[in-house]
Amino acid sequence: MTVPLFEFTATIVGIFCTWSLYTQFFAKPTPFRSIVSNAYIGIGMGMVTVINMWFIYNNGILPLMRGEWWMAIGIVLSALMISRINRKYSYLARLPLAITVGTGLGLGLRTQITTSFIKQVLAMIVPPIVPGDITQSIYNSTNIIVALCLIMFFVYTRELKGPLSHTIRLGAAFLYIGLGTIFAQTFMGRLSMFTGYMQQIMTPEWKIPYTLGIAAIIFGATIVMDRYGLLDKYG
Amino acid sequence: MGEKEGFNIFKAMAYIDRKYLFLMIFVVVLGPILFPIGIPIKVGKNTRLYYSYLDELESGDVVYWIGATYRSFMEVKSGYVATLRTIIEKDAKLIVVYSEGDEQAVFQSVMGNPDTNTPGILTPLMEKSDYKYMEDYVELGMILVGGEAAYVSLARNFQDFIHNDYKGTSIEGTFLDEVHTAEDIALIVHAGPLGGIGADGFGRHFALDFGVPYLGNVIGVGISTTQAWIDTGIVKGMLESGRGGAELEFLIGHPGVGLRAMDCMTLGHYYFIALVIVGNIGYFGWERQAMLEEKRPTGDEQI
Repeated sequence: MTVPLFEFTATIVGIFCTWSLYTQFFAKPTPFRSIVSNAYIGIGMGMVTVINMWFIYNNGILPLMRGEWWMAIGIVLSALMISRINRKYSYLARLPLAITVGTGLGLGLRTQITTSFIKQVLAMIVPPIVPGDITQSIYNSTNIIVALCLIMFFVYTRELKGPLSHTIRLGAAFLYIGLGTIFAQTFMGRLSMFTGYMQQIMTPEWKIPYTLGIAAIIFGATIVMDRYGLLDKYG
Repeated sequence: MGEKEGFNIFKAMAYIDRKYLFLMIFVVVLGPILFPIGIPIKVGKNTRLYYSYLDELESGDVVYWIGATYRSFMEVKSGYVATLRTIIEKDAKLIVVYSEGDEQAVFQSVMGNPDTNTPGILTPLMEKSDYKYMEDYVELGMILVGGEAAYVSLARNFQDFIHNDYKGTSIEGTFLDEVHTAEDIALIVHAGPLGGIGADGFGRHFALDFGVPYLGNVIGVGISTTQAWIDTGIVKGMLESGRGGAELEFLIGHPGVGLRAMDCMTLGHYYFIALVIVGNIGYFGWERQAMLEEKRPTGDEQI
């Protein structure tokens, strides 16, 4: 199977960068990681800059040249934002910022209150027992109990004594369970991301020897450099 | 200090060198990729709900596709590709919008770039289905950087604000001539948000105001927050990270990278559970004892 030169080169560079960054797990700075992480930041910023400038050209300059004169207002306001780099004229950046923030608030406040507050409260108003559906009944009852306990947990205006103090402890326990669940889901997501990327550098099959070989070279070099104290010098 | 000489299993469990832990993660993930096992999976309720909305699409329906950055793409790639495959097979139209620059590169890695004749993952299917740029899908570019004003414009007055695609080419004469407000949209798919969805612009201005079904292919961190939005009815369904994508591949009958990754996910989770158990045994068997012994008065016999 012939692989185009560009794809082959990009894949090899990508695999090298991957294993270089994974030397992070060695718990010591390595020259591979330092080179690749700095290059990543530089290349990333360069790419973002080019894409953004291209976007401004296609969606601001070209329409302006076609006669859509109102685009000039946006371009001028955007240029005013750059005034922030000069302390003397940085106040000019407040105008486009004010327009953006004000417009966003004005357009979004109604919907934000409806979705983030009203709809969420309505979603909690559910029957604790659903006849014929045990699963949903457990789900609903748990929702109500946990929500009430957590609300009690965050009441700071007065000391809660007697039976109410138990709800605080329950609320704390539910909070820990919830945070643990989020942590577990985060781990699942990170594992999924890691697996997806390992698949990316291992399929199709022609990539496998390069992936494993480059990993052996980089980690081998790292171990040798660590043994001879070169990591501290060149890391 | 209360330390005892000789090998102590609890101490070993409490102080395992991290290098070996990370090495085992590589073994657990790379092993099934090289030697697939084929552990079966079960399709969950959320994936079935997500698929039901995709299945209802008809030819000519217009779908908003909100791009995924590379940071989330590796996690949601299976669901991303499977969803696009379904949309193409249903002959629905796509309006592709982005909020970050690399989302376009991700999309074109799947759908290809017709200008440079660069093929994507789904290019064979697109050629078979005659699915073409400007006829069946249009990339509008990073218009979502306009914030709230962009979402409102897209929802309420599309024709007055959108005139060209990301390259500056006029969209006049395309299927977008029939799009005026959110009422003309059949479905919205957020292909790979970095958190949960529901509180964003599409949730508030499309789903809330116009009742447009809103689906999300969310990463692991966003599952619990998106579930809250599903309970409110703003979001109609979600794919839960890589597992959801694998389930969708199973449902549509096109096994891909997602299903192949499930072996790694299963073994990875077993490994993680084992680490939690070992860590707790090590903590209660050694570290806690060591802390309690430190608090005892001196005079303990030392071997």
